[in-house]
Amino acid sequence: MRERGRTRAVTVREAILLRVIEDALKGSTKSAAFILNRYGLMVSGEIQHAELTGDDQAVLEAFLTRVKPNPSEGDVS
Amino acid sequence: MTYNNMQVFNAMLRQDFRAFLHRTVLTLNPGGQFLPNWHIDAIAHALEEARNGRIKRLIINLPPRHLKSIISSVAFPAFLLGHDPRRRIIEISYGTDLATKHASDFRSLIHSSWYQRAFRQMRIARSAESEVFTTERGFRRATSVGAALTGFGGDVFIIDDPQKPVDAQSEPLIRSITGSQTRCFPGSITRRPASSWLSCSACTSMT
Repeated sequence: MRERGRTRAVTVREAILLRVIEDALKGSTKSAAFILNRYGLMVSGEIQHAELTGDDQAVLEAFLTRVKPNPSEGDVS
Repeated sequence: MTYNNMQVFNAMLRQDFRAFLHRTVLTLNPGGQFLPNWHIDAIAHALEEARNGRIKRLIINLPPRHLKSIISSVAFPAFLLGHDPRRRIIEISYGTDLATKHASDFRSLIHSSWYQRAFRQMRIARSAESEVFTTERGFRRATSVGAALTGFGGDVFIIDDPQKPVDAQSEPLIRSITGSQTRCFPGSITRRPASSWLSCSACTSMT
């Protein structure tokens, strides 16, 4: 992407958002509404974050099982 | 599912190589199962020591199908670059097919959504068949034994199966591989910290 005469690498997602912002600044009410809505959702915390998949849950549970202290380890028998 | 769970999950992937490896195996083997074992824990610990600079040379010898390539040639480079996208990693195998296969698995890993969520600073600048460059000029480059490496300096060298099993008894080949490895890693005469991970029968003549 070219910005102020300089080229810099950006992700596709960033490039799309930059283009929408550019459109909004040029007067596109649709783009402006989109950006402002996203901003509003972000500030209010209502944006849905990605969820853990079944595989993610399996990894997390295995990790928690591994690091969880074993109560029997403290016993003296 | 809450945002905090995702944060915990991402932090776990960044901090715990064994958990990262578990997620890697599930990504590369959809529907498969990860079977933890003490040898995986031992390798993970040794690689963590290498990542932290406490081990400079490491040889891993294991029978086939024990995850040594997935751990050392796929998961570990991804974990390294995730933490430091400036690392320059060169992975060497006996043939182009094997090197390309590892490179393909590596690319699947770093393009996965969970990896990109966990390692936000690691961004891919260019991804080709045998090499991936980060935006911080780090890379993982796959090549085969005997291929030209002139001009490609690296911080980390991973030599994974530099010879085919059928060539395990070939003295000339072992001498050739040992010679090329010696040229790559000339003992203490290294200008940069370099580490090598070996899993090969040629190791017997190197130890």
